[in-house]
Amino acid sequence: MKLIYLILFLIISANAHSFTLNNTSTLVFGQNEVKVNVHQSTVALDRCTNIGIDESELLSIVGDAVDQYWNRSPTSRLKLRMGSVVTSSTAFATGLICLTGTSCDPTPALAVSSDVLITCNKNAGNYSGSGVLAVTVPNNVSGKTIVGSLIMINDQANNTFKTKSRDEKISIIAHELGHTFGLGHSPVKDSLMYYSTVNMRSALGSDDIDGISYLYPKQQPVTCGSVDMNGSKNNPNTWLGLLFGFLVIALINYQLRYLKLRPRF
Amino acid sequence: MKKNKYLIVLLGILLVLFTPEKSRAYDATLSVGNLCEYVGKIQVDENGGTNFCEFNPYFASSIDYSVSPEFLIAPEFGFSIPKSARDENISKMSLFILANAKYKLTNFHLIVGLGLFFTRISGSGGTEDLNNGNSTSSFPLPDSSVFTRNFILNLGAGLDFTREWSADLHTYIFNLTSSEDRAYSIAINGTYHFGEF
Repeated sequence: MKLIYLILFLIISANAHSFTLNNTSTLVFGQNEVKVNVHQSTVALDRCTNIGIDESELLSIVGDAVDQYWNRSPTSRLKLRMGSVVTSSTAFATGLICLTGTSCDPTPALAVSSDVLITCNKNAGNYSGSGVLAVTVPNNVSGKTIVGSLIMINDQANNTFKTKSRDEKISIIAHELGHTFGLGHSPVKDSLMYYSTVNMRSALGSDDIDGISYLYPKQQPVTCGSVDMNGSKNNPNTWLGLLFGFLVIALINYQLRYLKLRPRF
Repeated sequence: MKKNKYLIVLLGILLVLFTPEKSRAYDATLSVGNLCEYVGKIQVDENGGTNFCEFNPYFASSIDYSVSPEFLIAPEFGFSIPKSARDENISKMSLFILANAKYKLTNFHLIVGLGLFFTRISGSGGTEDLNNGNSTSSFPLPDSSVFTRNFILNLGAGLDFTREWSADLHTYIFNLTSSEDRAYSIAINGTYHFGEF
């Protein structure tokens, strides 16, 4: 009986998981691939000047963030792709992400037309303190679909983003990307979506994989993002072809042997 | 994608055609084991350590059809016990169906198979107050159930101790053709063979 209690205890207590969403409407991107672009202001003074890296390096960090974290989730269909540095007006670098006097109604002028945009921003009104590394809002929403999301990196002179190592910057960007596609914070330190940085981050936590899979469940082999059993002209599916061929040949071979049949040709 | 369905139907037809009626022997099995999910893929502490295996019991059952003395076809169904979340608002469980083929050697067998692996993630809704910057915010919890579905390759091997008992090790390979999100889960189980029925 003690053994049964012990097993029950282990079942109940082990494997805790917890993730949250960043809105009550369970907003998600409509597409399976989302590009992440980096904004560069047309005004030189409003570009990334205080975070220790320029826009090109920031884009490189974005590439590492999506490859090292979110795109590795085995049960999610969402893939984030490194976009490009896009040059546009200075509003993204100086404006407020939320309208003043609201809990956070997105500023219409900063609505991102599609996918994800990351910008350096120096407006102190966006950050409750220098310790806040970045703020993120899906700020272009249609019904329950996210059309575009905006990440503002704290580029004030006293920001702490610049003091972080490259690996930490990668995990910070990856964390903010989690907010762009619908995830909230996690109470678990192991998770990328924990509210604060930790000593060392190397991979997604269980919560992160559960969270992205809840919002963007992979549906193989029927829908997009599935294993392509057919392959394509440029990407033939050698593995599955070989496996299927092996199974058929093995089956025929053993049947012929067992029935003592020989082919007539 | 229609070709996928044709492929599966074709495989089924081939299995039936090449399985002579008199050679079919049945063995029902029941397995209990542990499923180690996404080995090396999940961070488990704040120092960057990744997972190997955590306690995640599962049950499985299969019916083995003997195609020849060495070769078995073994469709299998299994599920893991639902895991209660830390805040008891989120739970998760796994289900799988596999079309396995087994090649028997002396006291030893090799396993290869294809199948579908389902992960159920569900929540009861509500909110959770968590740190957010320099203050606290209420974050919504998931309020419905979602199934993810992965097409998997199963490679494994087993030891036959007696006619009734064996032990298997399975490797479930997710996203075989994609280096980006390929993952491995390992299942270790003990199996009881009920024999022909």
